[in-house]
Amino acid sequence: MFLQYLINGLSIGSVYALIAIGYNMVYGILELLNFAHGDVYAVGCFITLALIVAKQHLVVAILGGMATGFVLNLAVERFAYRPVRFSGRVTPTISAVGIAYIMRNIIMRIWGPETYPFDIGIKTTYITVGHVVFGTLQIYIFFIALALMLAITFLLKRTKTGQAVLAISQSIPTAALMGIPVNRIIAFVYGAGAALGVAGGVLFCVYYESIFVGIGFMLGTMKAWMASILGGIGSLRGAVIGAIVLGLVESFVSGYVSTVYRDAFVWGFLILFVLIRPKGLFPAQIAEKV
Amino acid sequence: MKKGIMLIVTAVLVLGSVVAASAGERILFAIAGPMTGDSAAQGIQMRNGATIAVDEINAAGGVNGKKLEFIVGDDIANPNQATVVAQKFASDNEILFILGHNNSGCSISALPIYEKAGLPVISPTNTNPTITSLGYKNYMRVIVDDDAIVGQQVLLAVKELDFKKPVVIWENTDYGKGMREVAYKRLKELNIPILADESYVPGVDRDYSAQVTKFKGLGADVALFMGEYTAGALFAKQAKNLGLTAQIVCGSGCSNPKLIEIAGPAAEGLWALTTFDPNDERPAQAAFIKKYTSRYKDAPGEWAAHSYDIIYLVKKAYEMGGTNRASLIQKLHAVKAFPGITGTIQFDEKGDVSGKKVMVLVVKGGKFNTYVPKKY
Repeated sequence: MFLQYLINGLSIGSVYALIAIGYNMVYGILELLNFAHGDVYAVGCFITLALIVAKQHLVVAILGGMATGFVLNLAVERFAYRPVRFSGRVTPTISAVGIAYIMRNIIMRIWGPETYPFDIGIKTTYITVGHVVFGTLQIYIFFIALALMLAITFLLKRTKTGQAVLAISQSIPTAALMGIPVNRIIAFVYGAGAALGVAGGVLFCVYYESIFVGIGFMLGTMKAWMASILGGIGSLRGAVIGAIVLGLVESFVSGYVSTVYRDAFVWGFLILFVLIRPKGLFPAQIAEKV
Repeated sequence: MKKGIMLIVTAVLVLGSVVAASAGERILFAIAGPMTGDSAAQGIQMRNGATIAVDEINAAGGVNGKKLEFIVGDDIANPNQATVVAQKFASDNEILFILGHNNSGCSISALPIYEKAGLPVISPTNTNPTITSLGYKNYMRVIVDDDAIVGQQVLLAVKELDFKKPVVIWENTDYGKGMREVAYKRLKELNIPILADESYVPGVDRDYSAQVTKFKGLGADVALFMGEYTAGALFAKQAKNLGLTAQIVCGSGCSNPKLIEIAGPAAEGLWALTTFDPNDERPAQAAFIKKYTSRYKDAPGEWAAHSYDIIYLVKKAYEMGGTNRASLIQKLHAVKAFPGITGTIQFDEKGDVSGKKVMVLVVKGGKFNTYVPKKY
């Protein structure tokens, strides 16, 4: 059973990781806890489902959802975050919470609050090895998360845009003086973060074969945030590792300790961890205060 | 100038009396239940069932000539939200009674507020055994409690289907906890040990792999599921994916066709109990089913059927003289052997009904089929 719990934990951890990557990218640039991350990408996931129901091809649907997330986040950044960019930390956060509520209510208005079966044509085959069962999808998700982490780290270090992003994360005024198109780059990062979030969200829905309005808040806001705290906020490596650790902790606590008190234990673990090592497992590589 | 003012005052008075008269021409009640969230399908069924009854009654002339009207409060199956809804209703003096809440936990939370306002509360679906022992004189329910339902659930699993290695999975609410206690009691009486006992948080938890893995490791042959349809569907799906061979036997709360929609093929072979058979062929029941299905494109469940009965029951009590809150409570208790589509309704001093049947459904071919137990 230990192996099965391990597999379960890695699976759910990988899903958290995908969402957390997008979340961390935004934090890394602007030190904004993007509380709207989850609900914005939730809209994208529903769009994907709607496109599938409208008989569009799978790839079109997923890209459509990601594009929606991208565009939506561009709009959110332009109208909710940019005006308050230099107003301290609290104002943008409140702005984000407001956006989150708006997104959630839009979803409820259009699709309702119910859980829908999420069938987009990706079928998971389940393989049994001894006593352990795992799905092919779980393996894909795990490797996609790892690949994304490596790809983004590479992009940040080796491309001009990546370097621009790092520069902005260090100091916006200086970057602007250096000729970096700050607004465009920031908008791009937000958009990319949302697109990644949609990809992660869609994979989550495929994994659990269901979608509902709460996937945004539950996954994106709560779990991604917890994973980031564990892993080190602002650090991509931290996002992925922290997410996997979170998944494992949830799985093992559920299995060996108690399902009733699982959340209490997980939060307790988080509190303890923050007390011992507030910077997280891998202190930030993007967000740097010199 | 004076004439102008006189004209306006007269107009206002006339309008006011017209409005007052029309308000006096109606009986207003409130429906409280989950209209959004994971249990939304149940709240919506409550509303639909009540709507059919209200429309039938109004078309036939109303209750003592007055039209029935209702407003709806959404408690999202959340006890905290239920108190918010209750406050709103309690402050409206025109509301005569409350049809609700759907979830036991919500009713328990809201009852103190309703009691203070003297509002009669009639629930179509609260099954927690302890509610009627809490001493609320204004509370009644038309459904049998979980002592009866879970008792049947256990008998079905153990006596009819011959399973010997049960596990229990329950939702972490008053509803789930109540069911769990009854299950423990009954299984102890039958001398069958429970292999494992796990819970989940309804409306939030999506991942049941830990519970499924544990049950699988213990070699369970039946999972007694104590919760609502969304969670039941997700659990069934994950159980199938992870290779849990245990049969799933649910209490009430899962007999909603939405479960099959969400779970897909994983729902095949799932057992659920219900207090209203969606395949009932008796004339009154079949007529209701036909009306509901053609109007709402969905099969009616116990939420709709009980709500329908409650409206007609209140009509009877009102005609017997229960025209304000206090007298309605009294007259509801005075109604003898009311023939509802869910069975005969008569309240005891605690507000419970007895003697109503609990039926067994099993999912075959993508829909709920009626099953008649033979061994108990």
